[in-house]
Amino acid sequence: MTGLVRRIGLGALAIVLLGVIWELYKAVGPAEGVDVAGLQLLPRTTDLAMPHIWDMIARALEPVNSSEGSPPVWTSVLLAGLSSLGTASVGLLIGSIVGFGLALLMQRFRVAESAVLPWLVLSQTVPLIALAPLIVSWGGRVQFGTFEWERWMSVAVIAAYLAFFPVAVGALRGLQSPDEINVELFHAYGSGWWATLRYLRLPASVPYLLPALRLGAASAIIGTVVAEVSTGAKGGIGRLIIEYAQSGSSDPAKAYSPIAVAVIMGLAAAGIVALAGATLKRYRRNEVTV
Amino acid sequence: MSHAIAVQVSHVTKIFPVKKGDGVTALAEVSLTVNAGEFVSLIGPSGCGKSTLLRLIADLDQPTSGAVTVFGKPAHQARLDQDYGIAFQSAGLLPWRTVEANIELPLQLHRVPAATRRARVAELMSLVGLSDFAANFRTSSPAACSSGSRLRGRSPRAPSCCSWTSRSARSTR
Repeated sequence: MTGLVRRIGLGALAIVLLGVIWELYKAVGPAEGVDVAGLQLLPRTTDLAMPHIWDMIARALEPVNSSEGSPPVWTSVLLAGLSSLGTASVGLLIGSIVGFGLALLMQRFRVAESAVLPWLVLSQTVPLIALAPLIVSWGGRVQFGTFEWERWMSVAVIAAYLAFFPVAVGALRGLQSPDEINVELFHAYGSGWWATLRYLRLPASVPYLLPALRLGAASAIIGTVVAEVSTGAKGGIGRLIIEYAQSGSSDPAKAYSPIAVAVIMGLAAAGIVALAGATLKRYRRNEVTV
Repeated sequence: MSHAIAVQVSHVTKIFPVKKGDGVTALAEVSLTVNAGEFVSLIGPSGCGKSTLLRLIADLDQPTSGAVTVFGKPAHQARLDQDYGIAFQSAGLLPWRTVEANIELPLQLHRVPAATRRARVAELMSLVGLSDFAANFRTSSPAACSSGSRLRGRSPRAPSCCSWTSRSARSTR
Protein backbone atom coordinates (compact mmCIF):
# COMPACT_ATOMS: atom_id res chain seq x y z
CA MET A 1 0.00 0.00 0.00
CA THR A 2 2.84 2.38 0.81
CA GLY A 3 4.16 1.61 -2.66
CA LEU A 4 0.92 2.87 -4.16
CA VAL A 5 0.97 6.07 -2.07
CA ARG A 6 4.57 6.60 -3.11
CA ARG A 7 3.75 6.18 -6.78
CA ILE A 8 0.80 8.56 -6.62
CA GLY A 9 2.99 11.04 -4.72
CA LEU A 10 5.74 10.81 -7.32
CA GLY A 11 3.18 11.27 -10.10
CA ALA A 12 1.77 14.38 -8.44
CA LEU A 13 5.30 15.66 -7.86
CA ALA A 14 6.06 15.28 -11.58
CA ILE A 15 3.03 17.41 -12.48
CA VAL A 16 4.04 20.10 -9.97
CA LEU A 17 7.59 20.00 -11.33
CA LEU A 18 6.28 20.50 -14.87
CA GLY A 19 4.35 23.58 -13.67
CA VAL A 20 7.41 24.92 -11.89
CA ILE A 21 9.56 24.52 -15.02
CA TRP A 22 6.88 26.27 -17.08
CA GLU A 23 6.70 29.24 -14.72
CA LEU A 24 10.47 29.33 -14.21
CA TYR A 25 11.13 29.56 -17.94
CA LYS A 26 8.38 32.14 -18.32
CA ALA A 27 10.00 34.22 -15.56
CA VAL A 28 13.61 34.11 -16.76
CA GLY A 29 13.26 33.41 -20.50
CA PRO A 30 13.45 36.33 -22.97
CA ALA A 31 10.06 37.64 -24.14
CA GLU A 32 10.86 36.96 -27.79
CA GLY A 33 12.16 33.46 -27.08
CA VAL A 34 15.56 32.20 -28.18
CA ASP A 35 16.42 31.90 -31.83
CA VAL A 36 19.65 30.83 -33.43
CA ALA A 37 20.26 32.01 -37.01
CA GLY A 38 16.57 32.70 -37.53
CA LEU A 39 15.55 29.29 -36.13
CA GLN A 40 13.24 29.48 -33.12
CA LEU A 41 14.66 27.14 -30.47
CA LEU A 42 12.78 28.17 -27.34
CA PRO A 43 9.24 29.63 -27.34
CA ARG A 44 8.26 33.19 -26.56
CA THR A 45 7.40 33.85 -22.94
CA THR A 46 4.67 36.44 -23.48
CA ASP A 47 1.30 35.93 -21.81
CA LEU A 48 -0.09 35.22 -25.28
CA ALA A 49 2.30 32.32 -25.97
CA MET A 50 2.67 31.00 -22.43
CA PRO A 51 -0.13 32.05 -20.08
CA HIS A 52 0.46 31.74 -16.34
CA ILE A 53 -0.76 28.48 -14.85
CA TRP A 54 -2.96 30.36 -12.38
CA ASP A 55 -4.48 32.25 -15.35
CA MET A 56 -5.35 28.92 -16.99
CA ILE A 57 -6.98 27.70 -13.78
CA ALA A 58 -8.82 30.99 -13.26
CA ARG A 59 -10.04 30.90 -16.87
CA ALA A 60 -11.32 27.36 -16.40
CA LEU A 61 -13.53 28.59 -13.56
CA GLU A 62 -15.02 31.48 -15.57
CA PRO A 63 -17.97 31.15 -17.98
CA VAL A 64 -17.26 29.98 -21.54
CA ASN A 65 -18.39 33.29 -23.08
CA SER A 66 -20.15 36.49 -22.15
CA SER A 67 -23.64 35.35 -23.18
CA GLU A 68 -26.32 34.93 -20.52
CA GLY A 69 -26.32 31.61 -18.64
CA SER A 70 -23.03 30.43 -20.12
CA PRO A 71 -21.62 27.53 -18.05
CA PRO A 72 -18.09 27.71 -16.64
CA VAL A 73 -15.34 26.44 -18.91
CA TRP A 74 -14.46 23.50 -16.66
CA THR A 75 -17.95 21.97 -16.69
CA SER A 76 -18.22 22.42 -20.42
CA VAL A 77 -14.86 20.72 -21.13
CA LEU A 78 -15.48 18.00 -18.56
CA LEU A 79 -18.83 17.14 -20.15
CA ALA A 80 -17.24 17.12 -23.58
CA GLY A 81 -14.44 14.92 -22.18
CA LEU A 82 -16.94 12.44 -20.74
CA SER A 83 -18.75 12.26 -24.06
CA SER A 84 -15.45 11.66 -25.89
CA LEU A 85 -14.40 9.08 -23.31
CA GLY A 86 -17.65 7.22 -24.00
CA THR A 87 -16.98 7.27 -27.73
CA ALA A 88 -13.38 6.17 -27.18
CA SER A 89 -14.55 3.29 -24.96
CA VAL A 90 -16.87 2.05 -27.70
CA GLY A 91 -13.95 2.37 -30.12
CA LEU A 92 -11.61 0.48 -27.79
CA LEU A 93 -14.19 -2.25 -27.27
CA ILE A 94 -14.71 -2.75 -31.00
CA GLY A 95 -10.98 -2.49 -31.64
CA SER A 96 -10.15 -5.03 -28.95
CA ILE A 97 -12.71 -7.54 -30.22
CA VAL A 98 -11.52 -7.18 -33.82
CA GLY A 99 -7.85 -7.18 -32.79
CA PHE A 100 -8.21 -10.24 -30.59
CA GLY A 101 -10.23 -12.03 -33.25
CA LEU A 102 -7.52 -11.37 -35.81
CA ALA A 103 -4.85 -12.58 -33.36
CA LEU A 104 -6.79 -15.83 -32.82
CA LEU A 105 -7.12 -16.31 -36.57
CA MET A 106 -3.40 -15.69 -37.08
CA GLN A 107 -2.47 -18.04 -34.24
CA ARG A 108 -4.74 -20.79 -35.55
CA PHE A 109 -3.65 -20.62 -39.17
CA ARG A 110 -0.06 -19.86 -40.01
CA VAL A 111 -1.21 -18.93 -43.52
CA ALA A 112 -3.45 -16.25 -42.04
CA GLU A 113 -0.50 -14.80 -40.16
CA SER A 114 1.55 -14.40 -43.33
CA ALA A 115 -1.48 -13.11 -45.21
CA VAL A 116 -2.96 -10.72 -42.65
CA LEU A 117 -0.03 -9.32 -40.66
CA PRO A 118 1.43 -7.19 -43.48
CA TRP A 119 -2.03 -5.68 -44.07
CA LEU A 120 -2.31 -4.81 -40.39
CA VAL A 121 0.97 -2.93 -40.53
CA LEU A 122 -0.09 -1.28 -43.78
CA SER A 123 -3.45 -0.25 -42.30
CA GLN A 124 -1.69 1.91 -39.72
CA THR A 125 0.19 3.88 -42.35
CA VAL A 126 -3.02 5.31 -43.84
CA PRO A 127 -3.39 8.86 -42.49
CA LEU A 128 -6.40 9.17 -40.22
CA ILE A 129 -7.30 12.52 -41.72
CA ALA A 130 -7.72 10.87 -45.13
CA LEU A 131 -9.85 8.11 -43.67
CA ALA A 132 -12.25 10.19 -41.61
CA PRO A 133 -14.37 11.70 -44.42
CA LEU A 134 -14.60 8.27 -46.09
CA ILE A 135 -15.95 6.62 -42.96
CA VAL A 136 -18.40 9.46 -42.39
CA SER A 137 -19.71 9.16 -45.94
CA TRP A 138 -19.99 5.35 -45.75
CA GLY A 139 -21.75 5.68 -42.43
CA GLY A 140 -24.21 8.11 -43.97
CA ARG A 141 -25.37 5.30 -46.27
CA VAL A 142 -25.94 2.82 -43.46
CA GLN A 143 -29.56 2.56 -42.53
CA PHE A 144 -31.66 -0.32 -41.29
CA GLY A 145 -35.18 0.37 -40.13
CA THR A 146 -35.20 3.08 -37.52
CA PHE A 147 -31.45 2.82 -36.92
CA GLU A 148 -29.59 5.82 -38.15
CA TRP A 149 -25.86 6.24 -38.36
CA GLU A 150 -24.69 9.12 -36.24
CA ARG A 151 -21.53 11.16 -36.42
CA TRP A 152 -20.14 9.81 -33.12
CA MET A 153 -20.33 6.28 -34.52
CA SER A 154 -17.95 7.26 -37.29
CA VAL A 155 -15.66 8.67 -34.63
CA ALA A 156 -15.86 5.40 -32.67
CA VAL A 157 -15.04 3.41 -35.82
CA ILE A 158 -11.97 5.58 -36.44
CA ALA A 159 -10.89 5.15 -32.81
CA ALA A 160 -11.33 1.38 -33.21
CA TYR A 161 -9.24 1.49 -36.37
CA LEU A 162 -6.33 2.88 -34.36
CA ALA A 163 -6.94 0.73 -31.27
CA PHE A 164 -7.17 -2.71 -32.88
CA PHE A 165 -3.58 -2.72 -34.09
CA PRO A 166 -1.66 -2.86 -30.78
CA VAL A 167 -4.23 -5.34 -29.45
CA ALA A 168 -3.86 -7.63 -32.46
CA VAL A 169 -0.06 -7.58 -32.37
CA GLY A 170 0.16 -7.95 -28.57
CA ALA A 171 -2.45 -10.70 -28.42
CA LEU A 172 -0.73 -12.64 -31.22
CA ARG A 173 2.59 -12.51 -29.39
CA GLY A 174 0.87 -13.55 -26.18
CA LEU A 175 -0.98 -16.47 -27.76
CA GLN A 176 2.28 -17.67 -29.29
CA SER A 177 4.20 -17.21 -26.04
CA PRO A 178 3.79 -20.64 -24.35
CA ASP A 179 6.93 -22.74 -24.36
CA GLU A 180 7.17 -25.64 -26.78
CA ILE A 181 7.30 -27.99 -23.78
CA ASN A 182 3.89 -26.82 -22.57
CA VAL A 183 2.34 -26.99 -26.02
CA GLU A 184 3.61 -30.58 -26.31
CA LEU A 185 2.28 -31.38 -22.86
CA PHE A 186 -1.21 -30.37 -23.99
CA HIS A 187 -0.67 -32.26 -27.22
CA ALA A 188 0.26 -35.35 -25.22
CA TYR A 189 -2.93 -34.98 -23.18
CA GLY A 190 -4.83 -35.16 -26.45
CA SER A 191 -6.24 -31.65 -26.01
CA GLY A 192 -7.74 -29.95 -29.01
CA TRP A 193 -7.14 -26.37 -30.10
CA TRP A 194 -9.95 -25.02 -27.96
CA ALA A 195 -8.80 -26.63 -24.70
CA THR A 196 -5.22 -25.59 -25.38
CA LEU A 197 -6.44 -22.05 -25.99
CA ARG A 198 -8.48 -21.93 -22.81
CA TYR A 199 -6.03 -23.52 -20.40
CA LEU A 200 -2.68 -22.59 -21.94
CA ARG A 201 -2.64 -19.86 -24.56
CA LEU A 202 -5.17 -17.45 -23.03
CA PRO A 203 -3.63 -17.42 -19.53
CA ALA A 204 -0.16 -17.15 -21.06
CA SER A 205 -1.24 -14.19 -23.20
CA VAL A 206 -2.31 -11.99 -20.26
CA PRO A 207 1.14 -10.42 -19.60
CA TYR A 208 1.23 -9.42 -23.27
CA LEU A 209 -2.40 -8.46 -23.55
CA LEU A 210 -2.51 -5.90 -20.74
CA PRO A 211 0.22 -3.60 -22.09
CA ALA A 212 -1.35 -4.00 -25.53
CA LEU A 213 -4.72 -2.89 -24.16
CA ARG A 214 -3.06 0.07 -22.47
CA LEU A 215 -1.57 1.10 -25.81
CA GLY A 216 -4.92 0.45 -27.47
CA ALA A 217 -6.70 2.67 -24.95
CA ALA A 218 -4.27 5.52 -25.59
CA SER A 219 -4.69 5.02 -29.34
CA ALA A 220 -8.47 5.07 -28.97
CA ILE A 221 -8.31 8.41 -27.14
CA ILE A 222 -6.02 9.94 -29.77
CA GLY A 223 -8.18 8.49 -32.53
CA THR A 224 -11.31 9.93 -30.96
CA VAL A 225 -9.87 13.43 -30.57
CA VAL A 226 -8.38 13.50 -34.08
CA ALA A 227 -11.54 12.03 -35.60
CA GLU A 228 -13.74 14.56 -33.82
CA VAL A 229 -11.60 17.34 -35.22
CA SER A 230 -11.56 15.97 -38.76
CA THR A 231 -15.22 14.90 -38.96
CA GLY A 232 -16.50 17.98 -37.19
CA ALA A 233 -18.42 15.86 -34.68
CA LYS A 234 -20.14 18.03 -32.09
CA GLY A 235 -20.11 17.61 -28.34
CA GLY A 236 -16.66 16.07 -28.01
CA ILE A 237 -13.38 17.35 -26.64
CA GLY A 238 -11.80 17.49 -30.11
CA ARG A 239 -14.31 20.09 -31.15
CA LEU A 240 -13.61 22.22 -28.08
CA ILE A 241 -9.84 22.03 -28.60
CA ILE A 242 -10.31 23.60 -32.04
CA GLU A 243 -12.97 26.06 -30.91
CA TYR A 244 -11.01 27.36 -27.94
CA ALA A 245 -7.74 27.49 -29.85
CA GLN A 246 -9.41 29.79 -32.37
CA SER A 247 -9.95 32.35 -29.63
CA GLY A 248 -6.26 31.99 -28.73
CA SER A 249 -5.21 35.51 -29.64
CA SER A 250 -7.77 37.17 -27.38
CA ASP A 251 -8.17 34.52 -24.71
CA PRO A 252 -4.97 32.41 -24.60
CA ALA A 253 -5.59 30.73 -21.24
CA LYS A 254 -8.87 29.17 -22.41
CA ALA A 255 -7.26 26.70 -24.83
CA TYR A 256 -5.48 24.83 -22.05
CA SER A 257 -8.65 23.55 -20.38
CA PRO A 258 -9.63 21.09 -23.14
CA ILE A 259 -6.00 19.99 -23.46
CA ALA A 260 -5.87 19.24 -19.74
CA VAL A 261 -9.10 17.27 -20.04
CA ALA A 262 -7.69 15.28 -22.98
CA VAL A 263 -4.73 14.34 -20.76
CA ILE A 264 -7.08 13.37 -17.93
CA MET A 265 -9.03 11.20 -20.40
CA GLY A 266 -5.85 9.38 -21.32
CA LEU A 267 -5.03 8.81 -17.66
CA ALA A 268 -8.59 7.62 -16.98
CA ALA A 269 -8.40 5.14 -19.85
CA ALA A 270 -5.05 3.81 -18.63
CA GLY A 271 -6.52 3.60 -15.12
CA ILE A 272 -9.49 1.55 -16.30
CA VAL A 273 -7.15 -0.91 -18.03
CA ALA A 274 -4.98 -1.07 -14.90
CA LEU A 275 -8.06 -1.88 -12.81
CA ALA A 276 -8.97 -4.67 -15.21
CA GLY A 277 -5.39 -5.90 -14.90
CA ALA A 278 -5.53 -5.98 -11.11
CA THR A 279 -8.15 -8.72 -11.28
CA LEU A 280 -5.79 -10.87 -13.37
CA LYS A 281 -2.88 -10.65 -10.97
CA ARG A 282 -1.94 -14.32 -10.86
CA TYR A 283 -1.44 -14.42 -14.63
CA ARG A 284 0.94 -11.47 -14.60
CA ARG A 285 4.11 -13.18 -13.54
CA ASN A 286 6.42 -11.54 -15.98
CA GLU A 287 4.79 -8.65 -17.72
CA VAL A 288 6.46 -7.55 -20.90
CA THR A 289 6.44 -4.22 -22.61
CA VAL A 290 5.65 -4.23 -26.29
CA MET B 1 -1.02 -58.95 -19.26
CA SER B 2 2.73 -59.61 -19.33
CA HIS B 3 2.61 -61.12 -22.82
CA ALA B 4 0.68 -58.17 -24.30
CA ILE B 5 2.64 -55.79 -26.48
CA ALA B 6 2.67 -52.19 -25.28
CA VAL B 7 4.83 -50.52 -27.90
CA GLN B 8 5.67 -51.83 -31.33
CA VAL B 9 8.08 -49.90 -33.51
CA SER B 10 8.71 -51.38 -36.94
CA HIS B 11 11.24 -50.22 -39.51
CA VAL B 12 10.99 -46.60 -38.44
CA THR B 13 13.11 -44.01 -40.17
CA LYS B 14 13.12 -40.34 -39.23
CA ILE B 15 14.83 -37.77 -41.39
CA PHE B 16 14.77 -34.13 -40.36
CA PRO B 17 14.80 -31.90 -43.42
CA VAL B 18 17.42 -29.17 -43.53
CA LYS B 19 17.59 -26.19 -45.84
CA LYS B 20 20.51 -27.49 -47.85
CA GLY B 21 21.33 -31.13 -48.52
CA ASP B 22 19.50 -34.39 -47.89
CA GLY B 23 18.45 -33.82 -44.30
CA VAL B 24 19.63 -35.31 -41.05
CA THR B 25 18.88 -38.97 -40.50
CA ALA B 26 18.02 -39.35 -36.82
CA LEU B 27 16.70 -42.91 -36.97
CA ALA B 28 17.21 -45.52 -39.67
CA GLU B 29 15.18 -48.71 -39.83
CA VAL B 30 14.60 -48.96 -36.09
CA SER B 31 12.48 -51.82 -34.81
CA LEU B 32 11.59 -52.36 -31.17
CA THR B 33 9.02 -54.24 -29.15
CA VAL B 34 8.17 -53.39 -25.57
CA ASN B 35 5.88 -55.73 -23.68
CA ALA B 36 3.40 -54.50 -21.14
CA GLY B 37 4.95 -54.45 -17.69
CA GLU B 38 8.44 -54.43 -19.10
CA PHE B 39 10.96 -51.85 -17.93
CA VAL B 40 13.10 -50.54 -20.78
CA SER B 41 15.91 -48.00 -20.73
CA LEU B 42 17.21 -46.40 -23.90
CA ILE B 43 20.88 -45.64 -23.43
CA GLY B 44 23.19 -43.90 -25.84
CA PRO B 45 25.33 -40.83 -26.41
CA SER B 46 23.56 -37.54 -26.86
CA GLY B 47 22.23 -36.96 -30.34
CA CYS B 48 21.80 -40.64 -31.13
CA GLY B 49 18.01 -40.39 -31.45
CA LYS B 50 16.69 -41.53 -28.05
CA SER B 51 14.40 -38.54 -27.71
CA THR B 52 13.37 -38.73 -31.34
CA LEU B 53 12.26 -42.33 -30.90
CA LEU B 54 10.29 -41.46 -27.76
CA ARG B 55 8.70 -38.48 -29.48
CA LEU B 56 7.57 -40.74 -32.32
CA ILE B 57 6.04 -43.20 -29.86
CA ALA B 58 4.28 -40.33 -28.07
CA ASP B 59 3.04 -38.94 -31.40
CA LEU B 60 4.77 -35.61 -30.83
CA ASP B 61 6.43 -36.16 -34.20
CA GLN B 62 5.72 -38.39 -37.20
CA PRO B 63 8.15 -40.95 -38.68
CA THR B 64 9.38 -40.41 -42.24
CA SER B 65 8.68 -44.10 -42.88
CA GLY B 66 7.74 -47.13 -40.84
CA ALA B 67 4.97 -47.64 -38.29
CA VAL B 68 4.53 -47.13 -34.57
CA THR B 69 1.75 -48.84 -32.66
CA VAL B 70 0.95 -48.35 -28.98
CA PHE B 71 -1.36 -50.86 -27.26
CA GLY B 72 -2.18 -52.19 -30.71
CA LYS B 73 -3.30 -48.82 -32.09
CA PRO B 74 -1.51 -46.32 -34.29
CA ALA B 75 0.46 -43.86 -32.12
CA HIS B 76 -1.88 -41.02 -33.07
CA GLN B 77 -4.98 -42.88 -31.91
CA ALA B 78 -3.31 -44.06 -28.71
CA ARG B 79 -2.45 -40.44 -27.85
CA LEU B 80 -5.98 -39.23 -28.50
CA ASP B 81 -7.35 -42.12 -26.42
CA GLN B 82 -4.91 -41.21 -23.63
CA ASP B 83 -3.76 -44.80 -23.25
CA TYR B 84 -0.50 -43.77 -21.57
CA GLY B 85 1.20 -40.89 -19.83
CA ILE B 86 4.45 -39.10 -20.47
CA ALA B 87 6.81 -37.64 -17.90
CA PHE B 88 8.69 -34.89 -19.68
CA GLN B 89 12.32 -34.18 -18.97
CA SER B 90 11.69 -30.67 -17.63
CA ALA B 91 8.80 -29.92 -15.30
CA GLY B 92 6.84 -27.64 -17.67
CA LEU B 93 4.49 -26.52 -14.92
CA LEU B 94 2.12 -23.64 -15.64
CA PRO B 95 3.30 -20.74 -13.46
CA TRP B 96 -0.16 -19.19 -13.04
CA ARG B 97 -1.52 -22.37 -11.49
CA THR B 98 -0.84 -23.55 -7.96
CA VAL B 99 0.92 -26.87 -7.54
CA GLU B 100 -2.41 -28.55 -6.86
CA ALA B 101 -4.00 -26.96 -9.90
CA ASN B 102 -1.06 -28.17 -11.99
CA ILE B 103 -1.60 -31.74 -10.85
CA GLU B 104 -5.29 -31.30 -11.53
CA LEU B 105 -4.73 -30.04 -15.08
CA PRO B 106 -5.02 -33.33 -17.03
CA LEU B 107 -8.14 -34.30 -15.10
CA GLN B 108 -9.63 -30.90 -15.87
CA LEU B 109 -8.77 -31.30 -19.54
CA HIS B 110 -10.62 -34.60 -19.53
CA ARG B 111 -13.67 -33.02 -17.94
CA VAL B 112 -13.51 -34.92 -14.68
CA PRO B 113 -15.97 -33.51 -12.09
CA ALA B 114 -14.43 -31.11 -9.56
CA ALA B 115 -15.06 -33.27 -6.47
CA THR B 116 -13.43 -36.31 -8.07
CA ARG B 117 -10.49 -34.14 -9.14
CA ARG B 118 -9.89 -32.85 -5.63
CA ALA B 119 -9.92 -36.32 -4.13
CA ARG B 120 -7.57 -37.65 -6.79
CA VAL B 121 -5.16 -34.71 -6.35
CA ALA B 122 -4.96 -35.33 -2.58
CA GLU B 123 -4.34 -39.02 -3.21
CA LEU B 124 -1.57 -38.31 -5.72
CA MET B 125 0.11 -35.74 -3.53
CA SER B 126 0.38 -38.24 -0.70
CA LEU B 127 1.65 -40.82 -3.19
CA VAL B 128 4.64 -38.68 -4.15
CA GLY B 129 5.15 -37.42 -0.62
CA LEU B 130 4.03 -33.85 -1.09
CA SER B 131 0.96 -33.96 1.15
CA ASP B 132 2.88 -32.67 4.19
CA PHE B 133 3.26 -29.48 2.23
CA ALA B 134 -0.26 -29.51 0.80
CA ALA B 135 -1.38 -26.61 2.95
CA ASN B 136 1.36 -24.50 1.43
CA PHE B 137 1.13 -25.86 -2.07
CA ARG B 138 -2.56 -25.14 -2.28
CA THR B 139 -1.74 -21.48 -2.65
CA SER B 140 1.89 -21.44 -3.64
CA SER B 141 3.08 -21.25 -7.19
CA PRO B 142 5.54 -23.75 -8.67
CA ALA B 143 8.17 -20.98 -8.68
CA ALA B 144 8.17 -21.06 -4.88
CA CYS B 145 9.10 -24.75 -4.76
CA SER B 146 12.47 -26.42 -4.86
CA SER B 147 13.33 -28.03 -8.17
CA GLY B 148 12.87 -31.48 -6.67
CA SER B 149 9.40 -30.59 -5.48
CA ARG B 150 8.69 -29.13 -8.87
CA LEU B 151 9.53 -32.41 -10.57
CA ARG B 152 7.39 -34.25 -8.08
CA GLY B 153 4.59 -31.80 -8.74
CA ARG B 154 4.86 -32.76 -12.35
CA SER B 155 5.16 -36.49 -12.03
CA PRO B 156 1.71 -37.24 -10.61
CA ARG B 157 0.23 -35.74 -13.74
CA ALA B 158 0.92 -38.76 -15.89
CA PRO B 159 -0.67 -41.35 -13.57
CA SER B 160 -3.52 -38.98 -12.81
CA CYS B 161 -4.74 -39.12 -16.35
CA CYS B 162 -3.78 -42.71 -16.92
CA SER B 163 -5.54 -44.21 -14.00
CA TRP B 164 -8.59 -42.26 -15.02
CA THR B 165 -8.59 -44.04 -18.33
CA SER B 166 -7.81 -47.14 -16.20
CA ARG B 167 -4.91 -48.28 -18.28
CA SER B 168 -1.52 -49.33 -17.03
CA ALA B 169 0.67 -46.28 -16.79
CA ARG B 170 3.73 -46.55 -18.93
CA SER B 171 6.20 -43.79 -18.72
CA THR B 172 8.07 -43.44 -21.96
CA ARG B 173 10.99 -41.76 -20.32
